[in-house]
Amino acid sequence: MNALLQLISHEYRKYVFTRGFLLLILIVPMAMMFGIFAQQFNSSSTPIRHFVVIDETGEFLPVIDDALNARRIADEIESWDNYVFQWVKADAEGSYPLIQPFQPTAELTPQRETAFRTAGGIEAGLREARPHLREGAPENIIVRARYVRVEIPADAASLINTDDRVSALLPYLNSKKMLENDKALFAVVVIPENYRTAREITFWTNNLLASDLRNFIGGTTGEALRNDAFAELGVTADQVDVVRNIRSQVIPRKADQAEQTDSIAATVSTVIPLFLTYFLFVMVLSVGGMLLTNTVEEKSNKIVEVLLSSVSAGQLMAGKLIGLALVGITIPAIFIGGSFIAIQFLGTNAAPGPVAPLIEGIQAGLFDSPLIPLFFLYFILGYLLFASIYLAVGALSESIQDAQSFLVPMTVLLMLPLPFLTMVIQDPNGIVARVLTFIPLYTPYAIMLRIPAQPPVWEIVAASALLLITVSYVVFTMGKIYRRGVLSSGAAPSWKLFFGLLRR
Amino acid sequence: MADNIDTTSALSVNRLTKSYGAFTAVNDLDFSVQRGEIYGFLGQNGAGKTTTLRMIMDIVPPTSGTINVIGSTSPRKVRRRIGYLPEERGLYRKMKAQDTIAYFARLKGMGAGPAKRRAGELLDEFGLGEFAKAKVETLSKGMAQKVQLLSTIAHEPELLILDEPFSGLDPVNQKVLETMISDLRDTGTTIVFSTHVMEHAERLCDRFLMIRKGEKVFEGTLDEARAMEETTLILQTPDDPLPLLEVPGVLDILAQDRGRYRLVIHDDVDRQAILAAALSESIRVEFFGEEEQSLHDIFFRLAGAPETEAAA
Repeated sequence: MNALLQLISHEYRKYVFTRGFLLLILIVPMAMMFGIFAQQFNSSSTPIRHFVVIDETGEFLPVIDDALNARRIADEIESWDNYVFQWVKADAEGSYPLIQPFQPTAELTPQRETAFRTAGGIEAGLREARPHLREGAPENIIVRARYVRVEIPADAASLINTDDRVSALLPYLNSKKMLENDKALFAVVVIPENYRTAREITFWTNNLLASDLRNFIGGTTGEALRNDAFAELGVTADQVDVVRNIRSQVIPRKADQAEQTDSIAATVSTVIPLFLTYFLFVMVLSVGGMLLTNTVEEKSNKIVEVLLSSVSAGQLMAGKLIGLALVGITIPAIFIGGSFIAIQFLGTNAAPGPVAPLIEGIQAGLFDSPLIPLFFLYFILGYLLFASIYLAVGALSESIQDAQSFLVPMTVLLMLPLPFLTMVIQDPNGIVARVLTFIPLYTPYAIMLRIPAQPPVWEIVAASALLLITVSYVVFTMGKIYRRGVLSSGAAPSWKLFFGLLRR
Repeated sequence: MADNIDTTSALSVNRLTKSYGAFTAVNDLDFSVQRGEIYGFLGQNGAGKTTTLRMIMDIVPPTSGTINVIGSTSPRKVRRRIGYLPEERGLYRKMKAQDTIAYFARLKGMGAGPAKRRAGELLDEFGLGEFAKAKVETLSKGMAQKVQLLSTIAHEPELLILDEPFSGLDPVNQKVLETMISDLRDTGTTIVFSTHVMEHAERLCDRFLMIRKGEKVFEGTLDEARAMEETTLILQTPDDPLPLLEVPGVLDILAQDRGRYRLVIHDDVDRQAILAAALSESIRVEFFGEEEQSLHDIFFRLAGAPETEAAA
C-alpha cells in the first residue's frame, strides 16, 4: 500500500509541482483578465471618427446633426447609468437615492432622454449623487463622442464642383493632410442633389470594414426620407414617433426555473453545462495524453523494470491511473473552487447592475445544480475508460510514433458524435440524445448536455451504471495487456499483438 | 523442500521452467546461493539469465518450479529486502540525483527522511556529492549509471541481484563497481550477478552457475570447474619433443605457439618420469608444468553454443 501511495504521489508531483502546471492554472484567469482589460481599453480607445458632409441638397445636414446630438445624449445616459451601478450606494431594496430622471433604466425611451436633458444632464446628476457615492468614485464622467462632423477644410470648401471638392479631400482621407489639431479625416459623405429620388449617398473612406459610421448615416438619412413620406400621406411627425415607440417584447423564460425572473440568469445557467461538457472533453483527452507520454517515457527510458522490482505491474498501473486522475481533478477543482470562493466573497453586492444576473446565473447553473458532482464523476469514468486504453497502448510502444497507429482511430471514435451534439442541445430529450446517452463512450458528454432539460433520472442512473460496467471491464482487460506488454520489447504495437496479448 | 524455510541459502531454485508458447527459455533449472557469497551467473546472450532473474524478482511468473528467496517461497513478500538492477535500466531524466535514489528506496519501504539522508550519504561516498541536486539528464553516462546502482542498494538489501552490471561501464568504473561488490559482500550482503565477461566473474565470484539454452551446465567453484577438465601439461623447449610420446601415459603432443607444446596425459602418469625422459633425450626444458585453465576457456567449452565451439 505504501508503495502505491509513493507511486501516486510521484506521478502527481511530477505534473502538479511544475512551472508548466502553475502557468496553466494562471493562464485562464489571466486570459479572462486580459479579456476584461481589452474590453475596457477598447471602449475607452475606440477611435473618434471625424467626417465631412457635402450636402448638395442643403437639407440633410441638419438631420445628421440632430441625429448626432441625440446619439450623444444616449451615450451620456448610458455612461451615467453605468456610473450609478458602479459607484452610487443602493438602499436595501436595490434602488438608488436619486430623482426619477437619474434612476438607471433598462431601456432608453425618448421620455427618459427628454427628462434627463431637462433635469440638467450628467452635471446635475453628479451634484445630486455626490452624497451617496462609494469611496473612490471618480468626480467626472467622460463621455466620448464616437462620430464628429467637422466643417469642410478651407482648401476644399473654396471649390464649387463636388467632384473637385472630393478630389481636394482625398489627401485628407489618405492621411497626407490632417484636419485642425492634427486629426485624421475618416470619411467624406456626399449627398447628391437627386438624393430624394435616387436614394443613394456616396461614402468615401479608406476603411471599408468599419461600417459603423456608414450604417449611422444610412439609418439617419433613410429615416428622414421615411418621415417625409409619412408627412406626405398626412401623418404628422409626432404621430410617427408614437407609432415608432410601440414596443412588443418576447421574454424567454425557462419552464423549470419558473421562480427565476431574470432571463440573463436563465441563459447563463443553460450555457454552463455546454462549457462544462467542453471542459470535460478537453480534460479527458489531455490527461489521457499525459498518461500515454508518461508510460511511453518509462518504457523507452527502461525505468519500468526497475520499478517492477519494487512494485507489481498492477500497482504500477493503479498508481499511474490514480496519480494522473488526481492531476486531472486538481485543475477543475482549482477553477470551480476559485469561482465559488469569488462568488461567496464578492457576491452580487460587489458587482451590481448588469453583472448581477450573470453571477446569479452562475450561482444557479453551477453551484445549485447537480452539474459539479456529475462533472467529477464523469471525469473519473470517462478518464478511466480512455486512459486505461492509452496505458495499454503505451505499454506496448517504445515511442510516441509507435503509439500513433492506435491513437488516431481512438481520437476519431471519441470525436465522432461531435456533429450530433447540436442535436442534443436543440432537443435534449430527443432520440439522438437518448441514443448517445447509452453509448458508454459518449455517456458523460450526452448527460452533461442534457442536465438543463432534466432528463429522466432512470436514464442517468442506467446509463451511468452501464458506463461503470464498461469502465470496469475495459480497465480490467487493459490491465491484462499492460501487465503482459510492459516488459515486451521490439516491434511496434499492432492490433494483432494487442488482441494476442488479450487472449493469452 | 519448497515450503521448508532454508536458513543457510539466500536463494534456491528448484526445477524452474519458463516457456513462452513452444519456446522454453529456462528448463528445469536447480541452483542455490549461500548467504554472504558472490554468485556468478554465466551464459551467452539468450541463455536464459535475464528470464531466470526476472522470475526470481517475481516480474515474470515461472511456468513451473519453485523459488525460495531469503526464507520465503513468495519472492513478492521479501521484495523489499532485495536489490535488483535489471539489464534494461534507466532513470527519470528530469529527476534530481538524490531524489531518484530516495524515490527508489522509498518504493522499497524506507521512510522519507532516512531515504533522503541515505541517498545523500551514498552520493558523497561515491564522489557524486556535488551532483546531489543535479537533474539526471545533466549527468554524464558514467555518473548516471552510478546513480542507478546506488538506487539499487540504498535500502540496504540482504540480497543484491545485478543483471549485467558491468555492461556500458568504462574500465575505471568497472573497477569501482568491482570494489563496491566486494565491499558489500564484506558487510554480509549476498550478491548474484550475471555477466558474459569472464574476467569479472573470475576475480569476484565465490561460486558460479553456467547456463546454456536455459539449462544448467555447471555449478560450483572455479577449482571445481578446472578439476572437470582433462589434465594437460605444458612443455616449453627449442627442441623437438616428439620422443616423449614413448613415455607411458603420454597420449598426445600438440604444438602451440613459440616452442610451447601441450602434452595430453593420463591423470595418474608420473610427471617426474616425463621430465627424466626429456633430459635423457637431450630436450632442453625452459618451462614444464600443469596448465591452469582460465574460466574463459571453461566457459567456451561448457556454455558456448555449438557454432561458437566450432569456431574456437
